[in-house]
Amino acid sequence: MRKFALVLLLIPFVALLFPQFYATLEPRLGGVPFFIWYQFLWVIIASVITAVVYAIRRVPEA
Amino acid sequence: MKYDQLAIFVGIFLLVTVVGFLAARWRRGDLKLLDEWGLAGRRFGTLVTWFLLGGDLYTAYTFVAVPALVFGTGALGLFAIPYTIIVYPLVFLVMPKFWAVCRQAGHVTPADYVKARFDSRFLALLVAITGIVATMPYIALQIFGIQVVLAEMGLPIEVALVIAFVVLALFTYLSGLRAPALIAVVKDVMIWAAVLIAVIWIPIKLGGFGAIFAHVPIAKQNLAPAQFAGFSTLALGSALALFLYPHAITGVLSAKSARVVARNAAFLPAYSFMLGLIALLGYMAIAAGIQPVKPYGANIIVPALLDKELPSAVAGFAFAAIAIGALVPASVMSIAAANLFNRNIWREYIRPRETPQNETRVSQVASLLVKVGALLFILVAPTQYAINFQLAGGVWIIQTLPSVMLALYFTWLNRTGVILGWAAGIGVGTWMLISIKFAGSLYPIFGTKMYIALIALVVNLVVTLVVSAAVAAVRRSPTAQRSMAS
Repeated sequence: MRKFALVLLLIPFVALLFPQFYATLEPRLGGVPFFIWYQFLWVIIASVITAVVYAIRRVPEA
Repeated sequence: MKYDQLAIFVGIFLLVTVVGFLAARWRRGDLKLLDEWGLAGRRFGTLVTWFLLGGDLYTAYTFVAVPALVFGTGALGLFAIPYTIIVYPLVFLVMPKFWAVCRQAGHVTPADYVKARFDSRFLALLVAITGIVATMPYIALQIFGIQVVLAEMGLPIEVALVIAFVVLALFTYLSGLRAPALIAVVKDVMIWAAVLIAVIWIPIKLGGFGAIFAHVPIAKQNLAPAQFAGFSTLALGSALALFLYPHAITGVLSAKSARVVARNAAFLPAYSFMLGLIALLGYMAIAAGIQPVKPYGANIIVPALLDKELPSAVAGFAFAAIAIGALVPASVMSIAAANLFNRNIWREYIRPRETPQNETRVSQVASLLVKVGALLFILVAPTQYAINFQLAGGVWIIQTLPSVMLALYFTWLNRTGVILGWAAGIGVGTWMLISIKFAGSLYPIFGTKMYIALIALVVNLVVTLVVSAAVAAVRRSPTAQRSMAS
């Protein structure tokens, strides 16, 4: 389980390093192109993923 | 010149100066010891580390240059967002382990680790020189960040820069890493306030994001297919390089535990969100009709936009935030470069038997010289040199990835492989930069433009792995073992 959690860290790479899947203008959010707000959304998702992995892994204090 | 702007700017600058000097007394330690001066005793908890790394990595130059890139080239400039997202899973994986190894052995610099890991002071020297050379132009560009703000306010640039720098140099000399850490708290609060005001106020004035993007050419709102590879390789390459920079490693090593480092990997993306908002200022500048001004080009657009759209006093506050945003990284960078010089050049090759007090003195003096050099560079040479040099710095620093990070995981890597890989990566990367005359950071491979640092890193990795494996195989062969036994 703890080792498996590290695989979660790959998700942001897959979601962001292939712009061919998200480089579109529509749907816009309040006028902002999809290409841009999608990246903002991933700042939050990636941060949550790292926090979850942190909680699962319990890094030693030392 | 607007006197309300000037008054606010000077007032905040004075406040920060006082904070910088008082920092010497904060969490008091014996500042004559390098661990205390250069790493603040490795005692920073989660919150201070968050402020310090946030202030250290998201620099004033970033705040000026990223929107300028978006303004000029459009969506490609937004690679800064994925870059500063994917860097943190990497940090989470690697840096707590790196912190633990360095704490255990008392390493102060990445080159200290390399020397111990590969039993090679020559490889450590290469890593130290790479770090210093990559850091110098970065410091120069922080000064440039202050310069564009001063220019927008219409202050006498040379005099103001020299004053700012004397202050920076003195508090860094006296307080060590405590100064930028404490100032980072002030700086980050100010930057957050300034950014939030700007990204709420300016869009309201310009009629909302719909109206802003209506003024932006469609080609700048989205990537063209030809830019996909450039965008991804820039994001990945920059992410791999960031925590190899000496100032990033100094920030990590000053944390009090591996857990603090890991926690920050989850919290630091808050700054990436802010950087994204700042990048949008580039689009707002297009909509507001801001024009680049010589000699600063597009780098003036953020100060110009703030000056045009915000009330004068608020703009002054934002300018002060940017200027202080330059002091924090400039201070940490000079400390990191000075520690490299001290530990891996001076003590290693010039005066091996230095007392701990003298050792710290060497770092203090080196940090001064590094900053004076950077200041002279900005005052004397054209800014384009610093920008080109910084571009090259990114290509060079990433070549230390095998020696500093991969070495933590792959025990069979050896110094012959890593040294040859470093040389191959530096050679290929520098050659590509020269062949495109430093006109950008991308190079066409089979017709697809990609980030030079990443291409050169691939070359480095191939050489490192092949040579390391070959050396390990020769050592394991029966003839070699017999000759070792005899």
